[in-house]
Amino acid sequence: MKTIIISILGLGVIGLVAGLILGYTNQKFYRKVDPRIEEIDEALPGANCGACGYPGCRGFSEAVVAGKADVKGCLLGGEQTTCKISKIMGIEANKKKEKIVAILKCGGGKEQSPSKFDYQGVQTCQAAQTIGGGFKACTYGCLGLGDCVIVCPVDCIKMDENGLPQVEYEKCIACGKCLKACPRTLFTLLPISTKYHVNCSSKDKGAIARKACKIACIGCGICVKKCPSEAITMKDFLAKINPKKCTKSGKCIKACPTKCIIQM
Amino acid sequence: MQKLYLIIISAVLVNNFILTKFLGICPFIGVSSQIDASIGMGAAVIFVMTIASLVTWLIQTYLLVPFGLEFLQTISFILVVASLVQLCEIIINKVSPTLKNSLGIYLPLITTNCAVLGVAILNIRTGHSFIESIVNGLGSGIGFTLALLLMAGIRERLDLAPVPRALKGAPITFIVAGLLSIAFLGFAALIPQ
Repeated sequence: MKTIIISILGLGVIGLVAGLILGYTNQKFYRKVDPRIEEIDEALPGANCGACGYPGCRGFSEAVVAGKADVKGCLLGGEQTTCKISKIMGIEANKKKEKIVAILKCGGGKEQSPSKFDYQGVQTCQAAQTIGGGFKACTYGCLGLGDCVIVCPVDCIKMDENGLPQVEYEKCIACGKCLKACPRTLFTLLPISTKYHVNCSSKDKGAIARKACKIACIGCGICVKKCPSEAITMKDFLAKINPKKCTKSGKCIKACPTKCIIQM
Repeated sequence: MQKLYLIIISAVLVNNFILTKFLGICPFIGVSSQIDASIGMGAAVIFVMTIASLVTWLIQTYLLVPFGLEFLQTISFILVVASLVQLCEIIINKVSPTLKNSLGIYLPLITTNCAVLGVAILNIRTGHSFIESIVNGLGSGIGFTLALLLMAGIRERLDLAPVPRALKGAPITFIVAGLLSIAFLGFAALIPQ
């Protein structure tokens, strides 16, 4: 019995002394931190994806409190998180922001655009691009080695059998990493409501483009004439749709001879 | 005086906690990817080890032994180490929040760093005196920092080296750690038996 009491007392004394010292230093070395930083940090998803442009979620919450970052900055958290953060900051978040996704501007997989030569080198697009300007017949099209798949922080890009990356639009957070990773910059960020887009990036003249890929934009200009709202412009033998002007009539899809304008 | 020198050399090189006793491997692998972070980590460990050696020796000699409470050694030492780490964290948070961010989770993890507890218990077991314990704690901390810095330097170069694909990342780090540890075996001849 005596041993038990002594051991409880002994440990208690050590604990008490340590606690007192800690309490004293905590007061002495207290650093005033804005409590909102903690609150925002908790509201964030905590994935530290870096899509907001700050080092991790903590960096973002500090920037929001300092007024440097927008409350809508967290792309991964989406609307819910924005709501929570704006509540903490006491700011009314602007009306719903439309979801933006990454879209591939190329439809020429292995079938449509064959290889110029047998490439056996390092299996990344970045490396393949440096050898002879890429192995693909089309010098603008997707090489299909999946650099974008690797960089995607939310795993929303998958390679299909045709050798083209497919983006799962629900998961995409529009971080823009695939835009930078693609050596041919084939990705673009567009609002998800964009109905039609030109599924090609070839700036070659019609005949050359057609030879390299079955479904290339040949710059014929039929879509420009057919569009009732003048939303399509032609530059460098490549059609471009302005999503703001597009009235979603669907006439361009029917008119396109190579079927390179597609519906999302 | 000569004995103190011997203790320092022994703790830093011959009986290096990481490379010959294989204690405290977690921060060794975790923090050694950048030199800056490993300097901060090393400084924190030196501080904690030295003060822990001091306090635990006092507790052992004036509290545990007179009252016959030697069986409480482990738990009371862990209590001391944990409070010291907390103290360290509060101070670092005040002095340099950037350093605290770069150390991240590894700073609180010193609490359960077996190297720190190991130095405290080994001090008692080898029968070091008060001064010898403090010097041994200091030396062990320096040894820890040395190993961490060596590893960080190697790993910063390893990032650029053509490592075979199967060995990338952790495997090559463990192989390097093993080679470093073999190299440190050579210091055993420094101290005559």
